Amino acid sequence: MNRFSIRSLAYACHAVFWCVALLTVAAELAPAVKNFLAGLSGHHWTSKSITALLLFFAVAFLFGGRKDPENVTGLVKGVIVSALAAALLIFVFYLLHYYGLA
Amino acid sequence: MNFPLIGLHAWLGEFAALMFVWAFIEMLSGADDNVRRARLATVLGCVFIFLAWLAGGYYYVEIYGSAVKPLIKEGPLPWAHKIVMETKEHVFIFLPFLGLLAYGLLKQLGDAMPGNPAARTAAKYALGSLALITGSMALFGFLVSSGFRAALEQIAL
Repeated sequence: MNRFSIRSLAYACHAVFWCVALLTVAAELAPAVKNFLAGLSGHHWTSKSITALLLFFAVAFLFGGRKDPENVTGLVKGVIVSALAAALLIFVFYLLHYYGLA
Repeated sequence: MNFPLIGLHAWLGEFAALMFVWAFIEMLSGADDNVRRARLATVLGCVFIFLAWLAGGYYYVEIYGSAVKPLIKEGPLPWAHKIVMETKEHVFIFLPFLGLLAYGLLKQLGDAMPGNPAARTAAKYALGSLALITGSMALFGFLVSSGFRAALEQIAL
């Protein structure tokens, strides 16, 4: 973990959260996306999980050399807001989908 | 009999939440020994959450989709799958990565934390949110199980 700065881990978290959220919504709205994901590994959820893993380490390596700020609290707060917003997007989407509104 | 696998998933997830709570409590003081123990608790939490991901993922892909999901969708609480499980299975993916961020914080800045309140605050935010989101997964799991139980009761009665 020493090769990764806190900034690179935070950026990687942002990328994973929004990638999973957007892939989830896209897969429900467009069957072709869901079929494509299912075709990659046999199941759409497995493909999302593998994508998340690869994306996390790719982004973390990409930004691994970036220096951290003196105070990293803002980076962490940003990641938490991102996680809650992406989770809320997924929940609200399925709520609307359940009632036939999305 | 699918209970061992889903039981293992639930146990690993709940134990991960417990480890993150432990690490959070250690960070309230943030002395050298506290940071050392918080690092150990966070490593254990990350290991448990990755194992919960594997156990739950295998169960979800190989068993839940064919044996449980259709019953819940036809039962009296279809939202247990269509809203709760759909949300749970995707939000869960966030947790291992949030765990790696928390571990990264303790690994990179842990030695400076006793004299660096800002770094301790960052760790508390990361560990507190991990504990809350991981704990929420247990509630979601309970709701999904309730949907399955209600469907089985409908069939039995």
